[in-house]
Amino acid sequence: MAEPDSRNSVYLFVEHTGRVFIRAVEEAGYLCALLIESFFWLICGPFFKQPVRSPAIFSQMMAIGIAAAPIVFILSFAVGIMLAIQIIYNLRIFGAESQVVGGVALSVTREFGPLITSILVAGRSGSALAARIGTMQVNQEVDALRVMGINPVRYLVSPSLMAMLIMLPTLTFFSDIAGILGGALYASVEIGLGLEAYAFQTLEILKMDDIYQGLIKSVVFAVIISLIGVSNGFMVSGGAEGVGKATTRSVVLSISYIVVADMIFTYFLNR
Amino acid sequence: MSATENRNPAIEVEDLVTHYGKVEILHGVNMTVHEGEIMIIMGGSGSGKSTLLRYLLGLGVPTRGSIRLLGKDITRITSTEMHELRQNMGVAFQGGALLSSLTVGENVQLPLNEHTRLDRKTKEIMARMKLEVVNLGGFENLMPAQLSGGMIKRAAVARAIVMDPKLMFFDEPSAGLDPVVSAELDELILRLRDALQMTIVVVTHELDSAFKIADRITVLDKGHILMTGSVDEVRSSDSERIQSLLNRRPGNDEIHADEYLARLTGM
Amino acid sequence: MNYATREEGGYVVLELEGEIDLSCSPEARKQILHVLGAGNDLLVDLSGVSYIDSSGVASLVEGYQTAKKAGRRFGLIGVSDAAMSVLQLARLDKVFPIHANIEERLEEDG
Repeated sequence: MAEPDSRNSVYLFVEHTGRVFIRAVEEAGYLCALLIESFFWLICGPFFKQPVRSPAIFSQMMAIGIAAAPIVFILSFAVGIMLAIQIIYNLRIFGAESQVVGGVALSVTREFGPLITSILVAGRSGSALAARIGTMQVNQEVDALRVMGINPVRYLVSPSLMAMLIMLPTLTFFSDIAGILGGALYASVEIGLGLEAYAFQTLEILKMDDIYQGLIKSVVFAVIISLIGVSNGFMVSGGAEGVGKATTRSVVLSISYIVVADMIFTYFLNR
Repeated sequence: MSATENRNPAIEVEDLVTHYGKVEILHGVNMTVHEGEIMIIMGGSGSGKSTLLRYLLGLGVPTRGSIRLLGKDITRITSTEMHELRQNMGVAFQGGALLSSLTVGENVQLPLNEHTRLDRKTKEIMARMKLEVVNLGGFENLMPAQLSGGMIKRAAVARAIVMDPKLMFFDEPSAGLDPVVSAELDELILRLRDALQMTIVVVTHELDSAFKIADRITVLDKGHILMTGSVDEVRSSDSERIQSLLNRRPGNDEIHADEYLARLTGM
Repeated sequence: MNYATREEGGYVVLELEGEIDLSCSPEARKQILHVLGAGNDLLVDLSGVSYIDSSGVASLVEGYQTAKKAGRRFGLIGVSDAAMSVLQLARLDKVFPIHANIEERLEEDG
């Protein structure tokens, strides 16, 4: 059989696509391995006398969660107002402005709460994770950990993953409240619906399922943000420039994955 | 003949072949370091000396060959055995590689916290003692960013020796240091060998420091070992390549015209 | 590591024996602090020690400082060459009161 002509553009295209695909599969495999190894250390670490240290988890929880709370509140509040404006504008056509309560409550808990929070955390903490681990990689700190017999996944990844798994749902819940509060404030000014009545109606409309749906999503997003941040950090080569690239790449990738995963989840959770 | 040759080998490298991607870096390296000996691995940049160090530290999986540290072949042992072995290995990286989020004292204590269940006070005293050994007494509460390059390197040595390891590795200890600090570090390496009977491997391209502290020297060039011998043996070697390394003259490599053209044109 | 205590010349003498490394230095530390805690003056006899690592030396350091704070006397006797070089590395040979044996120490005490 003749060799395929390497200058044929179709051939080049197929080859390029194949390479990209293989690299994507490779990376997905790496992410899975990383996830499994992080959980291994969280669960089995103590049996090997190499536990994941709780102070490390707490400091990550502070950095990821507590420090992000104000900005999550402000953004979710703004989104809540925005939703109320749009929904009231639309419902006015039918003269059903008071239905805004359900609209805001459901969109915030099922969609906007988890999405806004995780995009924010991806930008804040996912990038920080990539930058921190990338810098450590460049400075041989990761090698230093390994030669000291300290597994870098246990020391660096597990605490971040754990902190992310706790804090992202917490922040999401917080964001739900902030978003609903924003909607309530706007509704009280625009259509004169009292805050108390608004809260009462919200509780009436919202089912636990709606909140769970948002929280489950946020758990998945937490895994995405940590793994993408960490893996990009570990893959850094080539000094400070490499760290910058990895940081950018981790933010773009995690936000893309979050949005796509959100779509898939929403589809399956609402069948 | 050096006096250390009768002792047991602490490090034995046999027929080590390694690849980076598809390029073969080390082409069958053999090396033995005896207990309580300072072995210098010398060579220009691109000679493969840093690669050899990485594999000695168990940071890579070789294509072929074996690396025995304290009698254990690290290319074949379980991760639990490797974990135990690592407690007997100290490494001072070129840039120090202190964790920037921890204080100097916490950095030095890190191996103790991970590997031992000693009392907190004991660990503190041990860390401070090692900082005294490297002349950094009283600096334990500073962050690495507040230290100069030489101080970071010395703190890294303190961290590397905090567990009293049997094997100690130095990567370019004098790179980027002024002559005085560099001489201090050489002095320290000698003291570690004499006081603690450590087996020490130093990777360097600094001739002066190498000749001062070496028991034996291994000269590496393009992934091959050119020679291993005492300071005098290396100095008086009649190999042209070694002499050109020693005198810092570029070597007169033979040029294969066909290969060279192919390399330049990529055809 | 083995240890034994006896009383001599107003001191409690703690004889340590064998290798003092990470695994047994906590025990040595406990004994040292125990003797001092009971209000005794302490001499640590290292003549039977074949190896001492820095965790062992750290215990001696802590003992000496504890003794000083409590106004108790403390000293090392029978320090072997190997132990001495470990002490010298951190210049602790100039810190500890070190004597060849208990007689020498008692003589100096007067």
